[in-house]
Amino acid sequence: MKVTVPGKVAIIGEYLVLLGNQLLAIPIYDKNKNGVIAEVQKSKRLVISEQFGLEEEPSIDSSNPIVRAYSVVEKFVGKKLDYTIKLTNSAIFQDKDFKTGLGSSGAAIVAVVKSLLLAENKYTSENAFKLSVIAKGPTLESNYDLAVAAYENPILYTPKYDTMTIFERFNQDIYDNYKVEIVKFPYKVYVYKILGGSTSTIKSITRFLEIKDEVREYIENAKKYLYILLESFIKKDTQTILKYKKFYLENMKKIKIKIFGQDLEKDIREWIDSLDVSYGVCSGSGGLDNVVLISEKDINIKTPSFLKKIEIYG
Amino acid sequence: MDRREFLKYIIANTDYLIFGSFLSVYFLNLYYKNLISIEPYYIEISKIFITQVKQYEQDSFDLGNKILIPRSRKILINTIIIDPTLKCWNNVCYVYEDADLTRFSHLGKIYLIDAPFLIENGRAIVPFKLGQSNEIREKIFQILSIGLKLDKSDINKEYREFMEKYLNASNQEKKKIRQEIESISNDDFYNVIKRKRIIAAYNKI
Repeated sequence: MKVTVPGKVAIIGEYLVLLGNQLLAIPIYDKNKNGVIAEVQKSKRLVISEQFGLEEEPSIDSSNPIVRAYSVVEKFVGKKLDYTIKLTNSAIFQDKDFKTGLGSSGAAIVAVVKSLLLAENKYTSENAFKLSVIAKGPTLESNYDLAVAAYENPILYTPKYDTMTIFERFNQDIYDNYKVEIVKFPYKVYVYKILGGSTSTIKSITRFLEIKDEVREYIENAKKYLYILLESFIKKDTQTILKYKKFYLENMKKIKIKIFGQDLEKDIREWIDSLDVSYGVCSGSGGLDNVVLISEKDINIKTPSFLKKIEIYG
Repeated sequence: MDRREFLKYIIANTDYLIFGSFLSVYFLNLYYKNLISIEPYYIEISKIFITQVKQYEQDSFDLGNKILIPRSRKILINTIIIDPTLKCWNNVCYVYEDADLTRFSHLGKIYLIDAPFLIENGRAIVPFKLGQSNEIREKIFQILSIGLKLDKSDINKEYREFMEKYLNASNQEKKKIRQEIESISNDDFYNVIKRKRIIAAYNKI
């Protein structure tokens, strides 16, 4: 049996989700509609992945969440399983020179969980998500990547608390910490990797949490526009999106955390402004990883030298 | 009342203990070594936002009893707690200069231990040595007497017992405890605590 699990892009709400606000995210597949592929065979208990450098017998004590995921499912189904899982990454996650930041490690956790649940006839998106959260363990990340990979649809993601609190409450009411709603997202999406730009998600998150009080004013402003925009995206209210998007981005720009990489923001901004794109841009989840264009219509544009277009499905 | 008596009084009568990084690490260390069963969680019902983190930026600081905390150990705390502006567990709080203590008032009985602060208008402004002057001590008593509700839960008892044990230890014993704590690498410490959390969640499936 073979299953595929998508990567993700945050359309709106990145960083603010760390403070307990909503986030709109969509799944990303490669042009063949593949993400992380898990092949499951009846054989000895093993998780294998060349990309993640893995060939490990499952144990909850493993330092790798992808391996722990296997044991978490065993606990859920109440017995030891006898499958070998082989994981393969789509090229959209990783080129030979860089990682794209589209969420392969989260998708790999979900791929293990999903494939085993399907093999044992216990699969639901909700189970896949919740068991993946346990396998991943305490983290300051928002875990929306796990939700998108598990629900395989555009989602409105609502953490019950900020990520600090969820981190603190890790083994308390773990199932109630997030609300996931599948939503429609009827837009064209174009993903570009920023060449030379890469961020460490956890460093970005830690930095954001460190400075959040210093940039409180911008956060509060951005939050106002976030909620207007989330509603407008779901209603496909173009006029409202166009009206408020720039205010949202202006405030978010003030709290953007750059850890590594070149400062290409000006170039990227000029490029976007020169395009006929009705809805514009969202950044990668980790910061300056990717540029994602969102449009109602097909767009045909030349990719500038500082970006690399990632061919995606749909 | 000498320092030890004062602290014993506090331990016997408090809901929440607030102290510096060494004792925070001491409790984490006890948890790491399975000597206490419950991880010193953050307070759930309140956030303590600290606007200035001046002390944190220093390589080490004096906790009032001449114990210097190496920077690596503070990084350890940061690794576990992550947010350097917020250090608070259930029963165990880590307070920085300029902490707004008025946010604690609804929690119950709160005491500052080990690295107490001079309090003005409910805001911690200057770290000082406990027992430094009667006037300051009186001030602490006044602040700590506001809106108190005694909680005698087992969790608190567990921490109280160890706190008392630590405070009653001889200097040599304390030194030994410090050495034990220092001998554990930050990675080991973090990984053990992380694994304990994962296993606790796993066991609830």
